[in-house]
Amino acid sequence: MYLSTTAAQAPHQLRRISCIGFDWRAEVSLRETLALLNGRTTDQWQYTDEPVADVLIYDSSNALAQAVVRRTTADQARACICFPSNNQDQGELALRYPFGASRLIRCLNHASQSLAGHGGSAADRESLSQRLDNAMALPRIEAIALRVGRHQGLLYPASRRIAWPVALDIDEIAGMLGGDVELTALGSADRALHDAITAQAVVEGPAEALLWAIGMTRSGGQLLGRIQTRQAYRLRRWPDFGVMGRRSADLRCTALLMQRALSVGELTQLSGLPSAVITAFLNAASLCGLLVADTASRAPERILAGSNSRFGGVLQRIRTAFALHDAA
Amino acid sequence: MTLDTPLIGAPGLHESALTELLELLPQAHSVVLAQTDGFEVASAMRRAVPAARLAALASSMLALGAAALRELGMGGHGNVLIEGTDGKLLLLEVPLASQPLVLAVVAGEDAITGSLLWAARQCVQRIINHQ
Amino acid sequence: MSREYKLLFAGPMGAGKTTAIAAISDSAPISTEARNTDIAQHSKAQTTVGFDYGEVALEGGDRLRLYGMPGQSRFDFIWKVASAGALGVVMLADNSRPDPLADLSACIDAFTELAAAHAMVVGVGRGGEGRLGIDDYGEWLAARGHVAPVFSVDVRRRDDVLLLIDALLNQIETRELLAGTTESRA
Repeated sequence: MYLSTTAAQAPHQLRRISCIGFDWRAEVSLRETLALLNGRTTDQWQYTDEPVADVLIYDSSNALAQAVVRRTTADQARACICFPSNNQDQGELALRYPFGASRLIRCLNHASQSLAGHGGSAADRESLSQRLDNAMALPRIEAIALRVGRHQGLLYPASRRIAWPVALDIDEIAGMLGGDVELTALGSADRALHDAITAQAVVEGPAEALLWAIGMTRSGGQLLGRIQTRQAYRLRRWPDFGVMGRRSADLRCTALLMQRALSVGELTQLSGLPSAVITAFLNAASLCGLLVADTASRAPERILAGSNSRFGGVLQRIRTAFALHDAA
Repeated sequence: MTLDTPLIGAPGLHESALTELLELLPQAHSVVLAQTDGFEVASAMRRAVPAARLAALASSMLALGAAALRELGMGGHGNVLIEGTDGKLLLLEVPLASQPLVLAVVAGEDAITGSLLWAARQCVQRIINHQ
Repeated sequence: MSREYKLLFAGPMGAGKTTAIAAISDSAPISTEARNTDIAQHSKAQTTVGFDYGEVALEGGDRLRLYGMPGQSRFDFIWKVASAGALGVVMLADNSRPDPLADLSACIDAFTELAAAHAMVVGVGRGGEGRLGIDDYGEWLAARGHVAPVFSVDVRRRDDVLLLIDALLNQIETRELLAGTTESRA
């Protein structure tokens, strides 16, 4: 992965680091290694789930990650560390998994250098997911105007469709994820503004891939306010992962919630996934309008240990044969 | 089956070849001619068999047999003989350049395999000669 | 002793079953194609009449067998034979057809038992000429009692085929996982 840096200031400052396109195991490993580095790097590093960080570590084989990096590098906003680098890549900003502390220290210090002299650190604020959810929940709202850089379009919360100046392909979505997104709720009184944007935003289509990506990458580790931890939820239908890409964690959570309503804790326990992954998944599903609260009163799941699989581990070997873990 | 398929010749001629086969071999009771993609072309029978069904089955089985031969490096053309306790089913390729066909002959258990093969091959030759 | 596991690829004629198997099989698949004379149904030159066969080696010497079913309902005897003991079925749809759901109908019904006992996933051929949206397929399936995932895919791409298989595996695994839990409702 390559490290992508934004803006640096004085030495020994607190910098934020994030990753994109990672297998969650690599993400956990990165966070653990970072925690061990305290005081051994030029700057102090703090992990964040927001890609609006000073340094972005990305999986160089992940299409969305590549697109985000292309975008951020073009903006000169931050530094990027690449992972997993191919064996030829011996650059200063290339990491290999498992993360060795000394290599990571060198990468981070190199990133600090390249950041020095740039602007300020990414600001703490409400996540984009939460802001978008707030906007969509406003009464009598007709559309939400989104502005990212030079592009502006309209998101229709009821139909979850979006009108945008260009086709919302993976590059365009990546651009929105990597930058600041300005949201304005439009009601019936905002007809003039609505029409002005519509004149530019000529490509209309489903917003599911964008909303899913926002939930996955711009949740800041916080569950949306509307999601209650004690409430059981199920999914209304399978999202179209053919459009947004395959991630095993998403497929696993979806398969569970399509079969039974589960609370956040139950989903975490049954899926065996880190809670940060579950948080992002639930936010994404909620933004897409797929998360449904189960109204039946219920007693909590009791998870029985040692249930035997009829398939005797063959499913796991099929995954290995197809390297299906790679996109987890 | 599809209509307007001039490739496979006049149905009347095919049927006469099939009828002749039944006359030649009293132990054979049904014969079906099919396209290799499973459509029935013609049939003749002393005892009713589901001809359209047999046409699809015959094309599949012959295709599987040919695939097995290809895998073994033994060419890609052959016949299939199934000997059941109550009868025999013989599938022969009819290698017409215009439209390859499959001949399926259903015979009783008393049919001698050699005679069955010989009579069926005569029938295949007649169908080819009709083209 | 090595064991065999099988996955089926089904769906109407021309939906891309042969292509999907070729995209993931370890070696070139065995095919049983014959000249297609039913041009009214589909314009392609060749059509599967037996079954396509590919395989993937698993750790420990076992094999995953991939069977591509012929699309036309006159070959439904093969669907029945192949369904026995299968892990699940990948159903492919051709969205460029005039009535893709009618085409899918016969196939889906034939595999209902397998889908209910194990798992099914539906892949809809991607392309601008598509007549129906993913939601249309989802609603149509739901009306028939199926809750299968529906993904838009290009089966020429290995990763898209892997998405279908990954979703299938996740359905089987989570069903087993949930079977090991108790759920008591007040």
